[in-house]
Amino acid sequence: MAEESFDITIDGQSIKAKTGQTVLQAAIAAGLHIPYLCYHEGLVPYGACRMCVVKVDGGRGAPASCTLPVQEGMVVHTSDEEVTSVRENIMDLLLAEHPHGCLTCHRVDLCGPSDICLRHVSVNDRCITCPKNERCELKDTARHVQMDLNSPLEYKYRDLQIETKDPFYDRDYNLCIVCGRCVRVCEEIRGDNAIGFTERAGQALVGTSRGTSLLESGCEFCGACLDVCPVGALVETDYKWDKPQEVKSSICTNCSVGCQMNYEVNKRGKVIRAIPEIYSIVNQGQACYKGKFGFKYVNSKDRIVQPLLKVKGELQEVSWEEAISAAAEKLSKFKGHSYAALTSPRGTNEDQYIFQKFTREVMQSESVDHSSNLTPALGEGLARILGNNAGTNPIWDLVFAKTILVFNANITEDHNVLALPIKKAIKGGAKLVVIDPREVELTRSADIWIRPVPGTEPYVLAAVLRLVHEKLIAQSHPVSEIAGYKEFVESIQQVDISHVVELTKVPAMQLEALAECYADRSSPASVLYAFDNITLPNQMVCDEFIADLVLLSGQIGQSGSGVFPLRSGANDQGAIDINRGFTDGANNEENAAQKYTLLNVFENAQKGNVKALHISGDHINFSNGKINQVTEGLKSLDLLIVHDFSLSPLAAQADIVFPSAPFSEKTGTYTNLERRVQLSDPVVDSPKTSIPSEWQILVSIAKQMGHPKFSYDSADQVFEEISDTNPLYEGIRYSELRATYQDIAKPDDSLPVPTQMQYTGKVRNGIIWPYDQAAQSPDGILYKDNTLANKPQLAAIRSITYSKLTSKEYPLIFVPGRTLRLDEDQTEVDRSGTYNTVSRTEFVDMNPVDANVLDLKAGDEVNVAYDGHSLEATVRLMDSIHEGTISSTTLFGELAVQLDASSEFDVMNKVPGLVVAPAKVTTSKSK
Amino acid sequence: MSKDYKELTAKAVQHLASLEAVAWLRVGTAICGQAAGATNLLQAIPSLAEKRNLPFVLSEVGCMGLCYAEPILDIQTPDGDRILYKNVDPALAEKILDSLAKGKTHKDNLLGAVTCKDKAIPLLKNIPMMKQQTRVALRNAGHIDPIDIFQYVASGGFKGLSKALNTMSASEVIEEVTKSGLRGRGGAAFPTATKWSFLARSDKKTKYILCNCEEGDPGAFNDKGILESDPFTLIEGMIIAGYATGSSNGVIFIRHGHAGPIERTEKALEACYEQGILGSNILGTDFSYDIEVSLTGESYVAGEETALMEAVEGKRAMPRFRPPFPAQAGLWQQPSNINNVKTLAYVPEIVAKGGDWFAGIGTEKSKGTAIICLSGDIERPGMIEVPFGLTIRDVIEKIGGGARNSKSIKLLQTGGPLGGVLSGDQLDIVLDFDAMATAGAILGSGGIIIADEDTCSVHLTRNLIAFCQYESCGKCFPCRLGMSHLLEVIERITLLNGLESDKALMERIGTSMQAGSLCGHGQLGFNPVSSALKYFKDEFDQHLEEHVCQTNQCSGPFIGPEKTRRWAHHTGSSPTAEVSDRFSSSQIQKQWISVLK
Repeated sequence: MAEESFDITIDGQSIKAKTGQTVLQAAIAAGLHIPYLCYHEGLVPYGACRMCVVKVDGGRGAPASCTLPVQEGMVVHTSDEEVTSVRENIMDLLLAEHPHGCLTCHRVDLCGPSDICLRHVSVNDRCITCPKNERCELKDTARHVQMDLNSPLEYKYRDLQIETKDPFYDRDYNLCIVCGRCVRVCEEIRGDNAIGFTERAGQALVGTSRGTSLLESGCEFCGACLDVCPVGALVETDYKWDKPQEVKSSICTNCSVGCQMNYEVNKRGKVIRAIPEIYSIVNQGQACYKGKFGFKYVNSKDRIVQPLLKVKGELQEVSWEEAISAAAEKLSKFKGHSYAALTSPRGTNEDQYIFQKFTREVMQSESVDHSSNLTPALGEGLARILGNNAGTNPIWDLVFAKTILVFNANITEDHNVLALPIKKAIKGGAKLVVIDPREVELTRSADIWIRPVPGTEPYVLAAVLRLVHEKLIAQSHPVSEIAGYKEFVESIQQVDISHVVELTKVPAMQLEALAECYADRSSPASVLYAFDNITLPNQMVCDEFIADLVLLSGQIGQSGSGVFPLRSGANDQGAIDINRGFTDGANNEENAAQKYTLLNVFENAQKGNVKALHISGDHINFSNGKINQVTEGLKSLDLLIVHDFSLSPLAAQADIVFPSAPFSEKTGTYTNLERRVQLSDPVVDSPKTSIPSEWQILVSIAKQMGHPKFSYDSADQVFEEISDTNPLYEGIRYSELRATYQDIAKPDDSLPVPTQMQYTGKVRNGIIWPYDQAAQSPDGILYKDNTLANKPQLAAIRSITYSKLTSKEYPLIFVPGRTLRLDEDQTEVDRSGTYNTVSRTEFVDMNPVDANVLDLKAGDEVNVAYDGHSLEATVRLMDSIHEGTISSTTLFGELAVQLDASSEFDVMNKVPGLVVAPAKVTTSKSK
Repeated sequence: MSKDYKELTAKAVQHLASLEAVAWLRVGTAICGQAAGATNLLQAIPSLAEKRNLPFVLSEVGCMGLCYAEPILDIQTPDGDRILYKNVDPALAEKILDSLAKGKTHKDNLLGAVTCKDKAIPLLKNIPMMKQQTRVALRNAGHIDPIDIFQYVASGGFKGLSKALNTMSASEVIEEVTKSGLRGRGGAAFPTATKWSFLARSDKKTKYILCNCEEGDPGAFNDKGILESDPFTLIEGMIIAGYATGSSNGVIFIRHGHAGPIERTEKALEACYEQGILGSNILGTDFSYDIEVSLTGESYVAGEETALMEAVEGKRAMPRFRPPFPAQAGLWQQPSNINNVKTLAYVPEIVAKGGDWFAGIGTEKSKGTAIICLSGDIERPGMIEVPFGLTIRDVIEKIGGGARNSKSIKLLQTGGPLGGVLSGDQLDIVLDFDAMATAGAILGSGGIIIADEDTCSVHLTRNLIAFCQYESCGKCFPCRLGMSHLLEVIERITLLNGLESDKALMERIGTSMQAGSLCGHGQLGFNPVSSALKYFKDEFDQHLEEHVCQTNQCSGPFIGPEKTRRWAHHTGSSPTAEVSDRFSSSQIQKQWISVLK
C-alpha cells in the first residue's frame, strides 16, 4: 500500500501527515510538540501516560495523541482547557511520588549546577542530586507545561532500596514513573523480556521476575532500557553523576557491526556515556554491552601518550622525532621477507592502507595481516565462487528473510546488534536454524537446532547441499545451467546422507527440514556464519559449501537472501578490502611461501624467517590455542615495534612503542560487515600531546626512510588514494560520505524529549560498496541483476578433513555454552558484598553411555579438565548429549560481572569466546 | 459421536426415559448451594435411598437463583410429579425420603412443585421470587445436570444450532439476531448483531469469538451462574455466533478461581466434542468450530475486552488502546468479537424461537430479559431473570422481598463498583438500558446490592474505591495514580480526619481520571464518589465538617484492600514535603527572588 500523504490541522497549523501515523508522530515529524512521557520513537505506542491527550473536532473525549491514527482533515487541539487540566493533574499525581524538591524550591532559578544546597530540600528529594538532572523528561515536561506546581496532593517518597549491585547500571525505582519504556524496549526490540511490570494499581512498578538480580533475569546488559528511561531510574554506574559538556557522534569499534553512537564528553574531555543514535541506519538506536559500556579505556590513566624506546633493556619515554628516526633506522635493516606486519582490527581504512603500502613499498614484504584474522579462510570461498569476500546484504535486510541459518557463530555476544533483525524476523514468522554444537542464546530462539558432534559440522553442510540439490531437481529448476555444475554434481553424489547422519548424529529429519527451507526459492533465506570452532583445513571447505549453497539455491542477490561471513574485528572487512586492492589480479602464488599471516608468523619468527615484527594493537588472543609459539616467537625477534593504547604485555616486550589513538580521537573510515563505509570523526582531543593516527606515524617513518611519495596531509587524502586505486571503493570520497549524512530535524533544545532525540542530529548513513553515484536509492544488495553472471562457478566439493579432537589422555570433547537464563535450580545470586555474584552448581551434561564407561552417575561431583582449564561440576545425564561429548552452560550474567569488575584495559575486546576443546573427566578429589 | 441432530435427540430421549423411570433426585450444587451445605446432602442421599430400597437416580444440578432456599432437593417421581424442598439438610432429607418410600409427599420445607397432581402444593413458578420472572437464558438453570449433554438436548438443547446450521445462512442468523433487538449484556448494551456483522465482514481465516466470564464485580454472579448451571447454552450460543460471523475459534475466558464454572464448562466442552457438537463438521454439516477455556490470574481489569485478549495471550492483563478495535485486530492480532456470557446465552433461544419472539419481551429499546443478582441487605437474595420494563422497586420488593428485617433501603449499588450508587428513593427507575442511563445508573453486570439504613454512604464509598484502586492494572497514569490518591483522600474522610478541601480535591482527581484514562476502569472509577456526593452530600459534609459518622461505621478498621501507593514503611509523610509546601507558593517565590536579586 502506497503511503498516502494528506493535511491535518494541529492548533491551527496545517501539517502533512501520512497514513499509519499517529497524531503525535505527525506532530513530531512536523516539529510540533505535544508533551509525552511513555511514547518513544521506535517503540509501539502504548497510551499509558496520557500526557499527550488532545481534543479532536467532532471526536469524543480526550484521546491520547500517541495512539490516535491520523485522518485526513482532522482538526486537533493540543491545549484546550480540558486537556490542559488533565495534563496538569497527571503531572501533579506524578510529582506526588517523584522527588522534585528543586522544582518547587524558591531558589531554583538561582541555583548553579554545582552549588551545594544547604536549604530546605533533603538530598533524596533534590533534582540537582539526580544523575539525570539535565536530561529528566519529567522535570522538563513539568516546566514546559508551565503549570502551578503547588499541588494539594500529599507527597510521599517511596523509600525503596536502590539496586546498585548489578553490573554496569543502577536502578533506583524511587524515581520510576512506570512509563513502561524499558519493559517495552526489552520485549519489543531486544526480545529479552528480562524486566517486566511488578505488582499493580498504585504499587505497580518495574522489576525483574520475582525480584531476582539482573544476572539471572535474562538481561544481556545492552543498556537499551537506560537509553529510553525518561527519568533517573536507570543510570550507568560509571560516571554516574558526570555532566556532559558536549555530545559527539562516532562509530563504535567493538565489533564489525559498526554502530553509530553519540558520546557524551565531560568538561575534562572524558567520554562518559554512549547513547546509540536512534536514526542510525545500522543500529537503529540500539547498542550492546560492549558498545554501551565498553569504551572506558579511552579515558584510562594507563594510556601511553609518549613513544617509548628500549634503551639498555628498559623502555624509556622519548620524543616523537626520536622514536620515528629510531624506527626508521632499525626498520631499514629488515627490508624484505624478514619483515612482517599485523594491523589492528580497529585501524581505520586509512591505517590499513598505509600499513599495507608501507609493508609492500617501503619494507618490500608481502607479510601483512590483521591481527584478528584467526579464521583466514572465512569468506575466501565466497570470493572464489561469487566474486567478493564480503556480506551481501544490509543487516536490516534480514528482517525480510523467511529462513535464517546461523552456522557456528555466537551472534548475540559477538555481533549483538546483528541479532536484532534476526529476532525481528523470527517475530514476523521467519524460521531460525542454528548449526552449532554449543548452546548459545540463539539456539534458544531456533526452530531447528542442529547439534552435530563437534568437528563434523562440514558434513552437515555437505548433506544439506546434496538434499537441496535433490529438491531443486525435483522441482525441475534449471540448476544445471550454472557453470561448474557437472563437476559439482559428481562430487555431491559422493555424499552419503546416512553416513553423515551416523557421523554427525544429526537426525536426517533436521537436515531435510533445512534443505526444504533453502530449496524453496519463493521464500528468501539468509545465512550468517563464522568459524568459531571449525578447524583450519575445513574452513575453506565450509566456506565453499556455503557459497555453493546460495548459488545453487539462488538464495542470493535479492532482498532477504543474503550471506554474511562474520568477522570479529571492527574493521576486518576494511582490512580485507584494502588487502584486496593490493593483491587482486596479481599472481601471489610465488610469494605465498614468504607471506606470513597471523597464524604462522610467530612460528616463523621462532624459525628465524621473520626477524622484525610490526604490530598494531593488542588484539592477539594469546590463550585461544589457535596461535602457537607466540611467546617463543616474540623472544626470537630482532625487532618488535608495537602501536598500542597502553603498555600491554605485548608492548612491554617491544623495542619501540608508539601510542595509539583510539577511535574517539581520530578521523577515518571503517567498513562494517555489510560493506558500509562509515566516516568517523574525533569525539575528544587526544590527551596531553596530540596522538597522531597510525597512518601518520607510518608516513613519518616512511619519509624518514627516504620515501617522499608518502605524503599525505589528511585522512581525506589517504582515502582518496584508496578510492582511486581500489575498485571496491571507487567513487567514494569523504565529500561523498559527508553528503550521505542525514540532517535530522532535531527538536528544539528547550523541549522535553527523550535523550536519544535530544542527541540525534546527524546520521552517518555511509556508503555501501560498490558505490554507484547514479543510483537513486541503492539497497546495498550485492550480486543483484546480472552482476553475478560474471563469473560464478559452482565449486566441486572438496573432501572434508575429519580429525578427531580427542586423544587418549583427553577422550571427550567439552562443549561450552552460554545463555542469558538458566533453570532456576541451577542459579542463585549472592547479594552480599559490593557486587551481586552468581553462585551456582555447575552442571556437566553427558551421555549415559559415557557416564557408564567412566563409572559415573547423575549427581556425582567431577572435575573436567580441558585446554589448561578445569571445572568442578555435578554430573547430569542427558540422552540428547552425543556420546563422546560433554557440555556445560554458563550464564551471561557471570560474564557481565567479570567484565564489569575487570581492571583489564579495553576489556570488552577480550570477551572470551566459547571454544570447543578436548577434555577429560575425573571424579572430584574433594569427594 | 452423533452423526446429526436427529441421532443426538434420539439418544437424549432414551437417556431421559431412563432417568424418569425411577425417582430422580436433583440437588443444586452451584456455589450458593455448596455454601449452604449441598455437598453434605449430596453425599448423604445415596445411602439414605438405598436403606429404603428406593430405586433412584441422583443428578447434580445448577442454581435456580433462589439463594435463600438452598440447599434445594428436587424430587421427580416416575408418575411425573416433581416437587422441590428448600433448606434441606441430611436429617430433613431422611424424612423426605421416608415419605417418598411410602409413596407419600413430605409437607415441610416445601419450596414448590414443577408439576404435581396435588393442587394444594403451590407451583414453583407462582412463588413470589419466581412469579414475575421470564426465564430465557436461565431456562435450564437448576433443572438439568450442567454436564449431562443429553439432559440439555432433551430440554430442547441444540435445536437452535441445528436450525442455524441446517436451514439458515450466516447472514440470516445475523438478521434473526438483529430482529430480536438483542443488546450486549456486558455493560455497554451495544447491539449484538451489529457487533457480529463487523466481524463477519472480515475475510481472514482465523477469527475469534471470545466469551467473557471474568465477572469480578462484587455482587454479580450471573455469568458464573450460567456456566455453573447450564454451560451448554453458552456453548451453543457461541457456536451459532461463530457460524454467523464465519469464525474459526472460540475462547471462553474465565477468571482463575471460579472453580465450579471452570470445571463444568470444561466438562461440557468435552461432552460436546464427544458428541460432534464441536470440532470438525459439526452435526454432520460443513461447519467446523473449536472452543477452549482460557484462565488468567485474578485481575478485575482482565474483564476489559482488550485486557482480556492480552490475558488470553499470556501477557499481563492490561488494556490495549483502540483503534485498532478487536473486530480488526483482536486476539493474536486476528479479528475478534467479545461477547458476554449472558448475551451469548440468549442466542440459542432466539434462533430456535425466532427474533420476533424475543423482541416481544421487554421494552421498546431494551428487548428480552435482564438477569439480575440481588444481594446485600435483602430478604431474598438470588439470581433472577425478568423482562425489561419492570421497575427496580418491583424487583427488590416483589421478587426480593424488600430490605431485610423490614428496614428501609438507603442506597443501591448497581452494575458493579464502577456503577456508583443510587439512593433508596430512586426505586422507580425502570429496568431499561436507556432509562437507567438517563437516571445515572447502569445495569452493567446485573448486580444490585441493597444497603439499608444502617449503612454509611461514606464508608461504603470507601469500600468501593478501595476495590477500584486495588483492581487498577497500573498501566495508565490517571487511573494508577488517581485511584491511589482518591483512596487516600476518602480514607481520611472515613477516619473523620478529612479536610474541607477534600471534596474539591476528589473532584479534581476524578475528572482527570474520567477524561484521561485509557479504559473504562479509570474512566468510571470516580463514579462511586461522584454518585455518592450527588445523593449523600449531607452525610459527606457531616464527616468533613463535624467529623461525625452517624452510623458509627466509620473510623473503624477497614475491610477490604488497603493498598495505595508504594511508599515508606513509616506512614508519616516526608518532612521535606511540608517544608517545601510552606515555601512553594508562587508569590513567596517571586518575593524571594526579587529580594535575592
